[in-house]
Amino acid sequence: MLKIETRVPEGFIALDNSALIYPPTEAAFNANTFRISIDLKEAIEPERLKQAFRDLLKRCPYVNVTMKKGFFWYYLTPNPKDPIIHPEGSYPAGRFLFRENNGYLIRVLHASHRIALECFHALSDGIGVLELLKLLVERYLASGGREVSFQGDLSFDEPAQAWESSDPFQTLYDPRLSGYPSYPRAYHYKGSGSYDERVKVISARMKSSDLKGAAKLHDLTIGQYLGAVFIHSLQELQLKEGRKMRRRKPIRISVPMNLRRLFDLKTMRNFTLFAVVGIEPNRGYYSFEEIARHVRLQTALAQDKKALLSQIRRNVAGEHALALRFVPTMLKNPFFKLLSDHLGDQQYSGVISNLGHVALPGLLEELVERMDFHLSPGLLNKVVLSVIGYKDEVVLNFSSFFTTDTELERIYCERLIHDHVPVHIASNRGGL
Amino acid sequence: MAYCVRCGVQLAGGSKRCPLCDTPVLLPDGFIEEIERPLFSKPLERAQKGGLSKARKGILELMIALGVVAFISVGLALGLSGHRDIVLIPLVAIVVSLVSLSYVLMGRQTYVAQSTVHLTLSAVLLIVIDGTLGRISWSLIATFSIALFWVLWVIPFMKHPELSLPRKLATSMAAVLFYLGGLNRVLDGKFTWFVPIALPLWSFTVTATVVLLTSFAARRGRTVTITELVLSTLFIVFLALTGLDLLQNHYRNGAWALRWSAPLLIGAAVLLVVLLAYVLSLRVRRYFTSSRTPR
Repeated sequence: MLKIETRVPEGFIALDNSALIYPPTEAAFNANTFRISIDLKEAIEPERLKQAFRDLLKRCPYVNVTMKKGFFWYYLTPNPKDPIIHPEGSYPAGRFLFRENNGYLIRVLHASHRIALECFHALSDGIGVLELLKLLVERYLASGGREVSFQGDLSFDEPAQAWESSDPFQTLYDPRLSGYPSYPRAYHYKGSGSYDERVKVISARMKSSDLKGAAKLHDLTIGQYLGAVFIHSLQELQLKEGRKMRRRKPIRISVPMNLRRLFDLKTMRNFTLFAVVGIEPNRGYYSFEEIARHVRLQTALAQDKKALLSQIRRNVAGEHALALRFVPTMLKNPFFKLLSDHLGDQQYSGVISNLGHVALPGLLEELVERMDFHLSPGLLNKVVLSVIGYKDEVVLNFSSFFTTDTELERIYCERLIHDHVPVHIASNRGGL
Repeated sequence: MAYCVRCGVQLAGGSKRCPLCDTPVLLPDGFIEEIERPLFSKPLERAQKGGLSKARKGILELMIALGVVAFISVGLALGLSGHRDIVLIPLVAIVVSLVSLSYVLMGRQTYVAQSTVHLTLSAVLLIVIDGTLGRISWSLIATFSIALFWVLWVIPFMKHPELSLPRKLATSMAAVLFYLGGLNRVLDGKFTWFVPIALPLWSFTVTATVVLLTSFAARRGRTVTITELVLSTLFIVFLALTGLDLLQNHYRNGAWALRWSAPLLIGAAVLLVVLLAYVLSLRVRRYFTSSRTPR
């Protein structure tokens, strides 16, 4: 068998398989970033935070990197520059300006009471960055003389392990498996009025016990219930557009799945695949119960290991294909853009990313005021939803490009109210 | 804390309006509400209109500066060398290219806006060239063609709520008629071939297309197959071509006879028979293979 020996330049760190798509598709309306933040009840001291960030970079060398455009691939390489921390702006998860961040793919932001980590997706996924945020907060508090230890895989006392920078997609890649089918184009809410690249946020906060109660009524988990409400809201919007029933496109939502638990593998890099869950409105109107049933069954099927391995095979096979490996980055980029639309945004009508419940250590229970998770929206799916839970609260953040249109958010929250979940709303849209 | 009377959600303390439905918050007189910390440190700044980045602004300024230099130098060179009669042509060309390139650089314009501006600029430039060289003649035909292109290739992409598909189709068809009429007037000074050839042919094509589309639209529960669509389009096209040959022959020679379209018609008939046989065979196969409940 023909074996091609590749020469790896010094300091070359290959992007993980799912990160390959992010650099070429990065654009004003496709920032590929996300933010996780924690609000403390005490004021934040920027100097202490900067030192904590420096310590974090020393502890995690795979974060202390910058991205470069190679002849064949984008790659990561160690970043010798001093890190910068930034004051918070008016919106989260906007386009990442690498130059203003000394080339780092992760940004530390601070507000009067907030510590936030904003990350370009090529570096890591939500779970990975949440671990980094925990470590950063631990280090920040330790510099003030308070020892706090989150439940997690990382510790400042131990040096970086090999698994932290591993790419499990390569481990799980099995070329013998068959490929994974793609779906036809899904419905996309076009919205009314204009849109711009500022990310408008509507933050809905609620008690997790209320949410659990509503989900239980429909025999769903909280994550499944929130997905079902998303599909229901999109169906209502599609219905309002007045299209003939047989012409209605399928409504599907993309739900990122954390594969760490499913495959019992650990990494600090991207290790996520998307479960695509939806309904076919050209077959008629779906009641909420019907949607709930579809979501329940489809999310269960989406976790089928064989299907996931087949999906991994499809994704990694592309990276290994000779025809693609030796094509210059410049030519690969337009192909990746098409691929991202075809296998990504076009296939689903919305994104809902759920980080789950973040367990706080005893000391922090009193100190933490709130936590947030924000995703960057895209050009096709201009409203995305991110979910995070802490203590007895769940925060749903709708990030949107629409200037004035908030129909999706309104229908969504009205459904929660209908299911007896009291919702507290805040926004950066200027309602205050 | 206030609640939205429409959505039923609890609003952040200090909210003036509900962010979901824009319903104003009305508090009882004298009620003082605790103001919550805003969601982010800074209020949302206004959106940048046009999205002109620094780089684009730089290119635009450089281009305008070069354009002005070119305008003055070309104007002076032609004026001083005694070519004042044609000086307008390069000057207008410089202005038109400047406006055109600037418009492209302004960014984020739609296809409709871009094509409308560039087509208008091209028409203006052609009229100026033609007018400067003599009287306006060929530029009128070019302008008519540009206008027709605009109606056929730009209007269909407009998203005005009053521009429904039937209206867009009607406008396109009317534009074709006006184009043919205008062409005839400009070339011959009066209607010559327009009334005996173009008008009946246009009427036939429009009527046949309308009948076809109406019959397709009237179908319930069955989609139109590609074969049917190709078949009916071919039917209209071949009949129109035959009509063109017939009318042209009568207009020129006064005889009602077919010339070049005769073999075409035979070919079309053969194709028609083959396609009809195909459709028929499909139906026959479906009749025998579909399951029927026994009586």
